[in-house]
Amino acid sequence: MRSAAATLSKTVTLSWLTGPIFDKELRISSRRKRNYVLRSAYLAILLLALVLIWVEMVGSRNANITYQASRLYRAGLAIISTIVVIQFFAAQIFSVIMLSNSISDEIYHKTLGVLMTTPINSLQIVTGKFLSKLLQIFLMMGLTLPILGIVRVFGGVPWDFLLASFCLTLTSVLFAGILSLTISIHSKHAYVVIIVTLLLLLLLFVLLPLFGAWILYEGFGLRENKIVTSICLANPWLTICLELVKLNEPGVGIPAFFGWGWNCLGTLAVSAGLFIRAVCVVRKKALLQACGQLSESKKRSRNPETNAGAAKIRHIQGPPLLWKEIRQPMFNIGPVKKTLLFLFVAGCLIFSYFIFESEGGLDEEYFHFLYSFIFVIIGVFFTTVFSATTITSERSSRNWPMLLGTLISDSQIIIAKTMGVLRRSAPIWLLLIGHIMFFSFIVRYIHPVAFFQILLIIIPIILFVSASGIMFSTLLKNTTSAVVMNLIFVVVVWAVIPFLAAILSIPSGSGDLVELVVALNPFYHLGMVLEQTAGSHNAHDSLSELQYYWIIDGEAGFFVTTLWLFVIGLGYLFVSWLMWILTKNILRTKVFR
Amino acid sequence: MIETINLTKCYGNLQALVDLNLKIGPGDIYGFIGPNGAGKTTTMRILATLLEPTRGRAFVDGKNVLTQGKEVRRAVGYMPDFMGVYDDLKVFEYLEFFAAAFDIPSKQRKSIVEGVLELTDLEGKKSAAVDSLSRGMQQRLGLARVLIHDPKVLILDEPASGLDPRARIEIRELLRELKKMGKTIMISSHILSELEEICDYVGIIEHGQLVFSGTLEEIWKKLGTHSKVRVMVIPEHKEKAIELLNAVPEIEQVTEQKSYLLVNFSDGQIAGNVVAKTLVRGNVDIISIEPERLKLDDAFLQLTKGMVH
Repeated sequence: MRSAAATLSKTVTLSWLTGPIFDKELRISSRRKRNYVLRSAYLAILLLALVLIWVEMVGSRNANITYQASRLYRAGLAIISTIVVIQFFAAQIFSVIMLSNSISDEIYHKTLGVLMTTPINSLQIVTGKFLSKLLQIFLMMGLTLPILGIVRVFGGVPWDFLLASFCLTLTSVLFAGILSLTISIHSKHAYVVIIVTLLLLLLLFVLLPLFGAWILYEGFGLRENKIVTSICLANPWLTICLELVKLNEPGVGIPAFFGWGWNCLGTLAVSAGLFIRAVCVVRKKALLQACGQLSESKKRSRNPETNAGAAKIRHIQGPPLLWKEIRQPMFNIGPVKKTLLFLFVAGCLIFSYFIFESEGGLDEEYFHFLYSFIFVIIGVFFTTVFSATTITSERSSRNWPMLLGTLISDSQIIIAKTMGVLRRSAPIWLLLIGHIMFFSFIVRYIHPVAFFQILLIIIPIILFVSASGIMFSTLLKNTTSAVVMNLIFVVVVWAVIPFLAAILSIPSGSGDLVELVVALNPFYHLGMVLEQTAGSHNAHDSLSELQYYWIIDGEAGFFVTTLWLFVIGLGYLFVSWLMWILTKNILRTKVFR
Repeated sequence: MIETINLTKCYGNLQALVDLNLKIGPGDIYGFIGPNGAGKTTTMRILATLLEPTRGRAFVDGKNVLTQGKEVRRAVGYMPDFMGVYDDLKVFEYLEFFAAAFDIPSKQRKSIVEGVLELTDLEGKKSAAVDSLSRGMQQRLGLARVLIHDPKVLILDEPASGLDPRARIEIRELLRELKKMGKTIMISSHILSELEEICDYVGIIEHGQLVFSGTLEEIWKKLGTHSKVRVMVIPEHKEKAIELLNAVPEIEQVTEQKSYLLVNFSDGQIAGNVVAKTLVRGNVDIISIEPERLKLDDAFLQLTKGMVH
């Protein structure tokens, strides 16, 4: 009787599937402050969005009660849409972050092999890790239920939409999470897993669909409706967008025959496939580690005798740390993978340019807007990540005490690390510079002054982001925390603060604060410069004809604008300098954490 | 060469070091032993300028670790307990990197690096990637690194941990070589028999406090091991020998061990000759008489209480 009860309990609680790993992970998760911080931040962002929408759509101080009541329906739709979108993307990002070190931690701490000496199997390891992190994400998602419930009570949102958004979010989270877990088997650095997973998601759900759509449209002559339907089958991001369009604009004419259910089933099937693969690979890795062959195989792969050209010794020139840092590649991958990556990126770029060329868009303003913004966003992203790994990687590789025990000064360390970040992120920034130079000086579709003005914009922000990254890398213990903090910092400075300024400005009706914040934003500067200089209609203007639109004072000429860009750049450099000073002061504190 | 005065280090409420007073002379090899968490590594890190003491002062080669950090770092070669290596450097590059980091002019670096590679027997590995080296080789590389700027003082935290017996013997020989070169060496290790063989002085630390500091002879004296003598006689005369020795007034106690007799003298007297005379007069056939020697492990156990933070 007792054994039957035990079996029943084991079956019901799924402990046969997760083993003790699930319990262990839950205990650890409950002690991690960052989970509470993430939840609080998530709730704060949701509430902020809610307040903004409410004030914008209903709470205007001049509006009467009848007007406000008439707007409730639209406000309900807007709130639900915003929450669904935030939840959809935030839950995926959080699942990627939370699962980014799930297996790599076990490998790095050499506990995976130890687990294999117990009755725990690889299915339990993967399931336990996966479900425990998912539970955290579901808890976070659960925070929105009261808000959704209240808005639903006021009417305007069909149950069908709520169900669709819930299922799409759930399956997307499962997919993003298992993808992150799978990649974490192969990389010990959580930040690498995060970046690779996010890039893969972008590739799968943005780049490939665009490419596919173009092929279907140009190659097969399919109608837009059919293209959308085909892509939706494999793309939850597009599916949720279409669900939102259906909700907010019922008459737009979204094809009725596409179904979110198929998408969910497809995503689930792919996730299941990835899950099974993860279980098999984890077992293989665990057995290798248990036999002590995991580190040996790595060593063998680095054996000089098996490495062509390994005998070549490079001699150090100049300051040693600077020498070492500027030799750090962007990605620590072999020459074959490096060539393949280069060919892939170059191929994508040439292909996309070709598409624009075929549409006659190369001399259009929007084309240069799009590419410049993409390059700047990717550049900022990589600079943010690389800078945040500088000191924590020294610490985790246990080189930090030895480096601090030399005569290299703190300033030299910070300068060398900054130069290292610039070197590593240079390929991305060179894409932007190459684009602008090509279209300014060779094909005259951008005014040549844009090149210098864009340099004035990007150089300070590169140094600013590098300084903040090195600061967080010094302040925080592990790389993932530093990377996440630096990303949050960048988002707060250039996205959340303008957003907050907008909210604060609504009650007063004065836009001064928003204007000031936006006027300091480099993305605004980039847009402003390109608006006046990009496109064949602007590229041949004389300097006196260039009139830039400044959000504060209206139009300004070339010299005034350049001067302002220079002054604002100096401001960013001054803040960077302050962060460097702070970093220098804390560099030797907590060396051994 | 190394001096600490009331050195204290607190981590929050935890006192890792409490008024530590230490003195190590030039050219000495000082073995620093204690249980895990006793404060050895903290002391070494302070002396290497990597930690700031909460209170007290520390000097290396007459330089204050707090105010003259750069000068201290020039004088010290510090090898941490867990040493990292840069993944993407070869052995020669790694050592050249640290040579440059210690401001050694570029013209001299090659010969200096080759010198330390020869000293540490790593010449054959100079083109190998540092992370492809075995644990023993990496420890040798660590020693080569600390020697690169020819420091007067070497602070080595567990340099032999995790090494196989051959590698440990080789490291020990290397330390003897370094002593001959006039280096002052402060070394911590859990393998006390090794320290016993190479150290001139030993410091025993527990709970952040120095329990003992001095020569090995002074330890034996403190523990009273000089007042014990081991006597081996032929088995047939064992009973007779016990009877005779028990009658000697200076002898406090005679205990029979498996293969010998352990004779305890009262008041810390050492009187091997009294034992010999007594047994010879009693016609007992003696195999050997030798003073009882404790091992450093035993001394460590007797002097410490097993307290850790």
